[in-house]
This record gives sequence, structure tokens and C-alpha cells, in this order.
Amino acid sequence: MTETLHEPQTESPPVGPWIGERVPRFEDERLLRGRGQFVDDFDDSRVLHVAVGRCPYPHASILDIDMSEALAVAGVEQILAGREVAARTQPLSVLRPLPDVPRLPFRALAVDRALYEGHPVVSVAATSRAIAEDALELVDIEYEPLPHVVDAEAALEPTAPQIWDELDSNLVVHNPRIEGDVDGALSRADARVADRFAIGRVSALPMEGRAIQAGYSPGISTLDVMVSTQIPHMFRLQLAEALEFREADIRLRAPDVGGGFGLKLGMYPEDVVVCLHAIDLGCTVRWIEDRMEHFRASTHAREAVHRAELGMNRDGTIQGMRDRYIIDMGAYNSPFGPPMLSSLMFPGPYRVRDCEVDRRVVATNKTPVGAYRGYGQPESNFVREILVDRAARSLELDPVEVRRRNVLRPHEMPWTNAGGAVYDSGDYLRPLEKAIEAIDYERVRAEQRQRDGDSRRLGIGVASFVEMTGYPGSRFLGKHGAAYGAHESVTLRANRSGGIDLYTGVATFGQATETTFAQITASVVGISPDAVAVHAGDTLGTPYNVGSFASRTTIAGAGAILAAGNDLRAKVLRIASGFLDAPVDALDLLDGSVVVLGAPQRRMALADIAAEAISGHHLSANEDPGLESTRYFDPPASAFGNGTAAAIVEVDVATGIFEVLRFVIAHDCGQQVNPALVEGQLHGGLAQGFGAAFFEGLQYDQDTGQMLNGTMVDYLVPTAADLPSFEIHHADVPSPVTPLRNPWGRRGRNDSARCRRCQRALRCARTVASRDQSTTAHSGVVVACDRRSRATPTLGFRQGGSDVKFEEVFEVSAAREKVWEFFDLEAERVGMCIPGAEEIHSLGDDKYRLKVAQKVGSMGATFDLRARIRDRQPTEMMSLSATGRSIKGARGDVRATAVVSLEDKGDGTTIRLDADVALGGMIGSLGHKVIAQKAEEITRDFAVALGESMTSWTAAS
Amino acid sequence: MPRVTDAGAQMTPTVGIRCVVNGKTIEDSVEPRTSLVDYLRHGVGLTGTHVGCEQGVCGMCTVLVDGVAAKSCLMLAPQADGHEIRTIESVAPGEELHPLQEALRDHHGLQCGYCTPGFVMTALALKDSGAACDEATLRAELSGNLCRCTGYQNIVTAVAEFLGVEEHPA
Ligand code: FES
Ligand code: FES
Repeated sequence: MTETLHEPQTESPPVGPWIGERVPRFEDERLLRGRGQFVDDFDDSRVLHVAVGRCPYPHASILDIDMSEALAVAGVEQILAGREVAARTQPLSVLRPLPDVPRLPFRALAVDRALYEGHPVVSVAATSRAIAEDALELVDIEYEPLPHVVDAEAALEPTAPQIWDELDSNLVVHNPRIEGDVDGALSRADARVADRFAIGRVSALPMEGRAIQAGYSPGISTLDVMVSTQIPHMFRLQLAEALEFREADIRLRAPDVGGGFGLKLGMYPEDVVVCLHAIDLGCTVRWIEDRMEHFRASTHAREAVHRAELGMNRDGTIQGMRDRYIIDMGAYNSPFGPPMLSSLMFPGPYRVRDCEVDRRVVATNKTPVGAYRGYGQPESNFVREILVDRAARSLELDPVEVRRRNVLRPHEMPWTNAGGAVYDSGDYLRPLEKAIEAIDYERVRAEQRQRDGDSRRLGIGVASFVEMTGYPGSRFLGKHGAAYGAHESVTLRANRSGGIDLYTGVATFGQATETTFAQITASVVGISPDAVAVHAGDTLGTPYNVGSFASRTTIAGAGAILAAGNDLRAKVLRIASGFLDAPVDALDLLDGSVVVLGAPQRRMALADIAAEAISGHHLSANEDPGLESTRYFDPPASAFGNGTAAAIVEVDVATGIFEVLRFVIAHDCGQQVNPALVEGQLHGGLAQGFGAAFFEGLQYDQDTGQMLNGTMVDYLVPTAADLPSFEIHHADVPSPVTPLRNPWGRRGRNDSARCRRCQRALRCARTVASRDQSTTAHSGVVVACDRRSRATPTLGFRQGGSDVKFEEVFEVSAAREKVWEFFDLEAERVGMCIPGAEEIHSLGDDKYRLKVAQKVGSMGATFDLRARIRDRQPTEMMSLSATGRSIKGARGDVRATAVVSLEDKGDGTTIRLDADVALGGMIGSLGHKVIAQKAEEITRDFAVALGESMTSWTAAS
Repeated sequence: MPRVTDAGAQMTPTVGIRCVVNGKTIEDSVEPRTSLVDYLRHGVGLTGTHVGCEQGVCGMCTVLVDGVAAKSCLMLAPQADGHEIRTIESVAPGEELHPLQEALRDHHGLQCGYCTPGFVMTALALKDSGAACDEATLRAELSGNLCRCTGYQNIVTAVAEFLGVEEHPA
């Protein structure tokens, strides 16, 4: 079985002169100078700006919206709310519908009921964003909070509040799949390992948030839209459907896009609203998402709970695997919706025949989830690789040896895995061996053993993966109900300057389409990449395409460019043949000129050929004018990238503080068009994987249903100081997915599965090093780590600079028992002593709800708080906690804990208050000093008010 | 500058400012609440300075204030009064790129490019202050600028080359 190990299984296909070159990117010049054009960079001197009002609750009825005061603000042009918008538009179309699931209509603005914090409720168009936001604060929305659920497992409980009447429960869809005899295989295994894995909820967090500008002039009746999106053509269709417009009446383009990662796939509610404003007002309207909105209103990703099991034999053979998992979809099925690739790719690179995957998608009162790098694959890679390691450990086998034993070999390809995916080709052992060799595995293992008793130990993590990239054909997608195809398309048009204009519907957001497409075109046609002008992302004049996601652009795009380039080239040679008086097969197109082979002085420049073709003056009778070709390419199968990551990590077993000493990844993505770009993609994916593993994780408070860390201060993404240098090794085996039509045999560039591949490797390493057998690997929960650049992390999520601790000691003249009685019986009165308290209600069970208005610096806000008495020791101590969010004014949230302790002081009592208050959001961003000052002031006033209230109460009783 | 002055009948009071932006003296009046980054982008029209969080975390809005790197989202425009501001647009006014920009291009230190102007300004300030002398310090110095695309590795390589900092061999 080993004889074919290191043989590439197909012959290397022909490679054009520019393929594989590290051509510098054409995009860079403008971006480096700050001359890129992102949506908000276009001139806005005649533009109205939109601000969107969002529901502050996870679930609420909208009882009334009073906009009269807001409409009176000078500069406000229009305010839209749900009912009107619903009457005039269709819900967002779903691009990947869940089969057999009733439609859960996602309206542009919430109608009567809002289902998640951040759900758009009203929209203001005004002459400036500042005025629009001012007006928003004056829109009076009466909400009645409804019971909520923000945990997917809790949402499946029969008592959970039901989110959709269209469904029987919060279970949206259940997709079981069993291949082979899983129970039998597991029961026969020598070792079985099983666990529950909770994968954290993360945000893709592109540095440019979403952005849209729409212009409409009544005479022309055409909507001119500029939007930060990955899929211009599909977006245009969605917009046309929502607005009931003809597709032809919308021009949509993506200018420079500041990162996407899957988050900018498809239309969002705000996009529809902005267009409505433009249509109604007959002018240009712009909405730029701010970061607070981004965390709440742009799709989240990954969150899932996996219960998985793996059985292994004493010789290391994997017997069978099972993964039953629940995905927290959030409140809606967004245009791309929850991932399905976790099921498809769970078996990974291994020879597994008996395997069960069981997906359940659950609705909760959270922001909808959508696509994000790898889209379900990193999640199941994480689960599988940990189980493989644990099984190996329980059998005292070497984890690398176990992987060697189980990875599929080239002669077994194509292989239909137990999840249903067909692996086209690949030599999975090759990257595994490369990675192992690169980290000097045996030597590090020896060193690891030597340091066994040390406080700082070594961990070695290894993880292997296969990643699906692209789609297996449009027909396949059609069968599965997707609203889009698998193809890409391109128009190539020769121009009279001797170059080629390339038109593609692909948007460019960092993946360097302008460069790679030019490289491929140059190679096919026989000109220099500089001579290719790529016009990307504008529905005006580009052929229909699908768009950039699933690492599919270059795979499918290359096929289309090849076909169109060959057309073009053939016609160029035919035309030249007449002028040069030589048969076509005696001609070649090199460096922008057609030359007669063997007589290089007889040549004709491409510019001249194009001029002849365009004027048509001297063409032969059977030749049509023009020199252009539009071609589509539909890949008949997915391509699969694969690889192995290995990490060496030093861990302090006492503190858990670790350092990644080395991180190596060996991968195979087929023929690379531009290795520099491939490495760049890998670096970026790895960084996002590190982020998800160690820093990132959106947290929700179960009681209030509120997002706790939805600001850039609170949600940590890796900085340059947090990441190691990544070592990359290429092991490229050309993919035969389309040997004839796509000669470069390109696999996707693993656009993403590495996300969690590093997380996996690191976590394995950490686990191995600390012999940590803990059962939950909850991504995003940073227990302790060494961040050189920022403050100390704490369990759960770290607070930003607005976490304030303070104490206040004051005396009252009443006796301790009396004071206690007051606290114990009159909690409402105590609550009303909080400066700014407007109302307080008891909810029973020591729970209270209160509204408090505060002004900090220039910002004012009204908070809706839930408080709870957590503990009481009669006459001595009471502890409380409160969480809440701003429902009016500056946005932000607050969490506080407080302990009140009483001591005798002569006849009176000393009251000591220790509190810890964390403020997030805009108010939190005011900074520690301002908040600390404010907190002091509040505590002081509280003490005074409490003294007075108690005196009057004592007097009355 | 409609974004900040078209307050219409509300007539939000404005304050006068005088500052030097990319070598040119500017006299203007702004609403006091206007942040410096909004003023630069929409008031002066210098849109190369970007916005990513408005909270001082991401570094997209980094400019030089009297030669020191500053997050222009955390400054109000009136605070620029009497100061000298430099933005990305001033770095390579002619045909040629600045050597730092060249290094970023040669090492593929940018993808979507949204974060790039911020990194350039931070690195220029670093050059002047001479703070970074090894890779770890350099990484720490760059940690006030986020990038979601590149994983920083190529940015660090490019800036290290520009500053003459030794990178640790892998
Ligand atoms: S926008 Fe200024 S630091 Fe993020
Ligand atoms: S290149 Fe996209 S954020 Fe840095």
C-alpha cells in the first residue's frame, strides 16, 4: 500500500507562463496610498444618511411607535417602520433554503414583534448621520418584552418559549444520516471515546462593516446601488425580489470591499430599507454600519454543541464515528443560513465506513448565523481531531502513527466519504509527513519526555483535515434547493490599446481577483498580465455569475477564462493569418503580438488585430467583427484541499499560560496561481482560527438574553502580538476535477478550514501537555493566556476599560436589625434610592426590574435592568447582581454585582457597599476614568438618598 | 461638509479650528461633537483614513498628530486646533511609493487593504520614535492596529524590513 505514497497521481498539466508566479498585486497601489474606494469613501456632498433603530430586547412585542417628535427634527427627511415596509416589500429571499422547512419570513423591519437584540425596527433618513441618530433617540418605541431563549439546548426544552408559530417547536430542521453499522462498529472497537464539545459563537468581523448606498432618480427609474458585498449579481436578484423591481432596473456594484469572510454573502434587512428611502426621496441615500450594529445585526457563526464518539482498534484503525450536533441558528434563517458542511466533512481524511452524522438546527432569540470561513468544517475538524487524539492516548498509541494508519491513500480515490462527499483526489499522507518532518517530531517528543516533571511542559499537537472547496456543479446545487449555481463566467474583450478588458461579476475583497484573473488570462492568451484590465463586481456589463465564497472563485473562474481566452486567441490567429498571409498553425501569439513561427520579423501587434476586428474594415467575408468572448464554466465536482497542521506549545501547567513555539502547516491546494496569495490566505485563516480558539466568543446573558460583549473593546480578536509566525509547506498535487477544461487542476485555496485547524492543533497540544482531561472545549472562553498587549484576561470574556470596582462606607443612625429589615423588606424602596431610578417592579423570587436614567459626560441613556438578590445573611450581608441594557439614548449595556454588609457602629450602623460595575458599548467607551468618577458620584448620592429614605421609613414604622 | 454642518434650523453651534493637514493650513468651523476622523474624511475629503470601531481599538483611523500616531476616532476635530495632522495621502505624493509601502507590497502585507493606511501611519511613527528593536517589540507596537485578513505575518515582515528590525528566524 505504500508504494504509491509519494507519487503524484496525475501528471502535471501544462502550466502557463504566469501561473505560479508571485506577481505583485494590481490592487495594492491604490490601497497603499489610501486611494481605494470603499462605499463610504465616495463623495457624500449630496447624500442622505440613514441610522437604524434596533430592538434592545432579545424578544419583544412592539406596541407602539411614536415618531412625531423625531420627524420634527430639522434635517430629518423620512422615517420608516415595519408595517409600511412590510406592505411594500417581500421578505429577504433565502439563497440556501432549508429543505422541507416552512418559510420564516425575514422582513426588512420588524413588524409587531422583534426576535433578537439588534433586530431593525425603524429607520431614519436625514441630512447627516448625526442628525439621523439624534432623531432616532426621539423615536418613542413602546416594547413589551416577551419570554426569550438564547441557548440552543434550552430552546429544545418543551417549556422553552416558542419563537416561530410556523414551526412545531424551536427545532427548525433535523438531518440524520447513518452510513454502515455504527453501533456495531463502535461496540467492536477496543477503545471508545466520547464527549460533548461546545463550539463558541463568533463574528467574522471584517474591518469594514457592511455599507450600502442607493441612488434613485424618478425620471430614470433605475436604482443605482453600491454595496460592500461578495456577490453582486445574486444581491441584485435578491433586491429585485424584495422591492418587486425588474432586475434590469437595478445596477449593483461592489467597489473596494474591506473583507468579507462569508459575512457579506447576501442581502440584509437594512439594504432593502435604504433602497426604499432612496426611491421615496428620489435621491442618494447611504448607510454605513457601525461596529455596535455589526456585532448585533451582521450574521454570527459557528455556535454548535456536538456530542461525538469515536471507536478505535488496538492497531489504531478507526472503527466508527458519530457526531450528533445542534446548531444555534439565531432567530432567522439568513440568506446563507446555518452550515451543513459539519456533517459532510466530519469523517475528514480518514478511511471511515461506519459513521453517523446528525444535525439539528435550532431557533433562538439571537442574531441569525451565516457563512464564515470554512462554514461548518472547522467545527467538525475540531471535534474529530480531538477524539482521534484521545482514542490514541487511551490505547497508548502515537497520534501521528494513528493518523498515518487511517488517512486515505491515492489509490483509494475517488472516495465517497461516509458523510456523502466525493473526494476527487489527493495524497493525504504527503502533507502529514511534511508537517511531521518540519517540526522534527521525534526529537520534540524526546524533549517532551525529558520535561515531563517540569512546571513548563511541551505539548505537541497534530491535526489533519480535508476541506471541500467549490461546489460539485450547478445541477447538484439545484437538486439541493440552492438558489444559485456553481459556475463562474467571464467576458474577455480585446481593446485597441493592445490589451484585454476582462469583465467579471466577482467582487474583490482581498482575494486579489484583479491579479489572479489577469495572470490566468495572460497565460492563456499570450500577453503580459499588465495588459489585462480586470473590471470586477459591477452587474452592468458583466455576465451573470455566482460570486466569491467557498474558495470557489479561482476554481470556476479559471475554467471560464480558459474557455474565453481560447476563443479569443483562436480568432486573433485567424484574423492575423489573413494579414500575415500564413496558415493559422504557423502562427503564435506571444507577448502581445502574433508572429509567424520561424520568421519572427513577420508579426502583427494585438492592438492592430483588435483595431481591425473592431472596425471590421478588412475582415474576410466569413468573419464577424469584434474580438470578444463570454464563457461560463461549471465545475463538475468539488475540489478538496487537504493538509496537516502541527504545533509545539510550551505550557505552564500551574497557570495555563502558554506560548506557541512553532506552528507548521503543510497543505495541498493543487496548482497555485500565485503562491504569495495562497500563503496570505493561509495566514489570515490561521489567525482567525487562533482567534476563535483563544480570544473570540460572543457571550449572552441567559437571564436577560442580552449580548454581553458586543463591542470591539470586549470582543477580542488577535493582534500582531498574539500570534506566532506560521510556517507553511506546500505539497501540491494537481486536482483532476476537470483535467481537460481546467488544465491547472486547481483546488480551492483552503480558503478556510484552517480556521479551526490551528485551534485544533493548539488545543490538542495544550491538552496533551497538561494532561487535561476536562470535557468541554468551549471555544472563545479564555481561561488564561499570555497576551502581551492587553490587560489580564479573566474567565468567560474579558471586560474592556470600563470595568470599575469601588467601595463606599457610610453610616446611618438606625440600628443594624432595623437597617436589615429595611433592606430585606423594602427592596423596592432601596432600589428607588439609586440616583436616576424611574421605576421598579418586583418580579417575585427576589428578582426586580428597574429603569434608571443616567447621564455620563455628554451622553445620556435610560437603562432597563434586571436585578436579583443572590444571597442574604440576615442582619449581616446581602449580595445582588444586575444586568441590563440601554433602551434609550446612547447605546450600551451594564452588568453589576454588589455586596452590602452591615456592622454595628455605636447605636447606628455602618453600611459598606462593594460594587463591581462593567459598562459596555458607547458609554463603556468613555473610559475608566470618567466612569469611575461617575460611579463615585452615584454611590455618594445613593448613600444620601438611602439615609433619608430609611429615616422616613423608620419614622413611619 | 454636509455631514457635520447641515444641521439646518437646529443651528448646532460650531467652533472655529485652524490646523495644518498634510502641509496645508486649513481654517474651518465644525460642530464640536465631530470626531477628527469624520472631519478628515467627510470635511476635508481625505478618505484614506478609515473607520473600524470608533472606540480606539482597531487602528483603522490612525493618523499622525505632530508626528505621533493617534487614533483620530478618539479625538474631536476641535482638538486638532493648532496641531499638525498627517494622513496616508501625504505619504507618497508623487509617482513612487514610499519604501514602507513598497515593502508592504513586496511582502504581500495587505489583502482587502482596509487596515493598510493605519499600519502605514503607525509604522512611520515607529520609525521616528525608534521604539522597535526586535520582532516581539515590533509586534507589540503594532498591536494597536487590527487586521482581519493577513494574520499579520507579512505586515510584520514588511515593517521589520523597513525599520531594519531583525525578525526571529522561524
Ligand atoms: S476607528 Fe479609531 S481605532 Fe477603530
Ligand atoms: S488587509 Fe483586510 S483588514 Fe488588513
